[in-house]
Amino acid sequence: MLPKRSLLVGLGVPVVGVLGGLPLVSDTDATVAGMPLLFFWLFAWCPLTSVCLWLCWWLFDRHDYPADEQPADGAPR
Amino acid sequence: MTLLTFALILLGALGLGIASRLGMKKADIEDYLVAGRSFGGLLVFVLAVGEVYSIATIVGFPGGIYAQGASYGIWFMGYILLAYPLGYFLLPLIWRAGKRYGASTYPDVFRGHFGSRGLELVVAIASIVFLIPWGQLQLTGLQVVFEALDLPISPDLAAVLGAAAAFGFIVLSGVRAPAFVSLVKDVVLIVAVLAVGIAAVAAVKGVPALFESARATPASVTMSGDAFRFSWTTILFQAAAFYMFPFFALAIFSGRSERTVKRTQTFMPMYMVMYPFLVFASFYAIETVPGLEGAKANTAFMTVAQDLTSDWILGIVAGAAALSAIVVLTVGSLVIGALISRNVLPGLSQSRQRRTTQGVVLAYLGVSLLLTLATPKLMVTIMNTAYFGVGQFLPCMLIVLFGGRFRPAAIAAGIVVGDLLAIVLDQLDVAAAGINLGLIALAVNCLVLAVSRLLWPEPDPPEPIAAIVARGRRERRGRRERPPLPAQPPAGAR
Repeated sequence: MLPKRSLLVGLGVPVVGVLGGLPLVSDTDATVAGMPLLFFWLFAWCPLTSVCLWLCWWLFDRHDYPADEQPADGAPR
Repeated sequence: MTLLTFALILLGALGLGIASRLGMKKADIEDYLVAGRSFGGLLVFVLAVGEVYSIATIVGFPGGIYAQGASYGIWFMGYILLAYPLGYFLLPLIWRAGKRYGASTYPDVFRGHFGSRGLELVVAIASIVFLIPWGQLQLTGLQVVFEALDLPISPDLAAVLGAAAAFGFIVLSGVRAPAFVSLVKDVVLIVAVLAVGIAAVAAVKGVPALFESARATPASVTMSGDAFRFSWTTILFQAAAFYMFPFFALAIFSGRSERTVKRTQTFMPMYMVMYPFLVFASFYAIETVPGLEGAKANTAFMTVAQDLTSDWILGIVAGAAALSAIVVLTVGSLVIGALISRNVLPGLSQSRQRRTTQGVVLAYLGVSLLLTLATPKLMVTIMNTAYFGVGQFLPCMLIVLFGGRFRPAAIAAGIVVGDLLAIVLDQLDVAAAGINLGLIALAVNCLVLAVSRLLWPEPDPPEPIAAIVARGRRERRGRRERPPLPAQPPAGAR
């Protein structure tokens, strides 16, 4: 079905990071770079999620999705 | 000057919309609705981004933070963000299902997979019901923007022009037009947001000052209690429901391959870099223009833009708003047209499907326009309600992808029960300790499915898409690892 290690990095990490992290950062006066921690947390997870997905693709998944097949119509290359 | 940049942006979009006709090969309905499944990564990306970030991005989002505080901004960002990892895993499978069943809409997939006309009809009609407010939402947003920006175009005229542009694009080239227009729209939107956000930070000399006075009202920078529970459960539910929104079918199915749609998802979260700047602009509004009451809160972003930026940037903001509304209107009405011509009315020929689609689009845009001009109203909670409804399709899609002994009638019953419950809870304005009402409806929907599984299981379920994909992959691997044996000499040759 779906590859487990890919699910762990690509789905598990962002979901735990955002939904698991929210209770910890929601009700605090802490600030990072002048921003309330709550907003900073969400901002940070935007690029981090992209990184997680890119790692999944590069490490685990790209071989299972071969490059788009060329039309096999015998056209000269 | 404002009008000049605005006009240049719209002309550029119009030019690309017309240029999108050039890629059309043949005039069949698959080419019209899903571009003959030919789009590469760039076009799938811009079309998907075009659909996600509607005019609510610069109207509803800053307005929500202004009026309701941090919890609104957090769920808004959180659900979009978490939809992408889910899409990374599900979209390639949905694409494969679309290819296998020659689908342009989700009900096409369900008809093909389960062979059930009833289920197809239930999903098609529910999709249409929950999409109807969407058109009005975009046009109302357009009015808000033009009212706040004080341009020589009246808000009503802007709404009329927006609807007319959407119809023109659809007649011109179907789904190709919004995809090409999105090339301009996605760039212009991010430029507008960055410009206004940076201007807001610069005006108060640094980020910390933006949040200074907001601290006096804790709800604007923190969340707890019901607000926290609403935010958390809404992120969970809407992230799961996200790609069930009927118009994403067009973006997914127009992709060239599973690889294309999967790779696209790895880049989608990067577009969200604009959100910090939207938040900065929102807090600048809280800080410097207090007292925007009710619907006026929706003008927060435009007010900041007007106060802080020069004329030509205002033109960009207006252009971004107009194109965001037009792209979403175009895709939304195209999808409603497809749902009616392919799923509600069965067995139309290809050319009839195309004409019916265009007729429905015209009617949908006309009705949306009338509603907008006649009953201007708040654009706050319409979005949540639409998600309550379309989120109920998720179990059905998961069964297509991963299987399970569920009868199509039971799946349809789950959707009907979930959707009716969602509408009732929403109308009664039930406050379930903040828990997202769509999530409650989804739980009941799943309960219906579980009971049917126990008492009345499907004896012979169709092979799930994930199993078909896995089998194909094993076969491909097998071929790679074991080169074909040399041909055996025919028996009896010796």
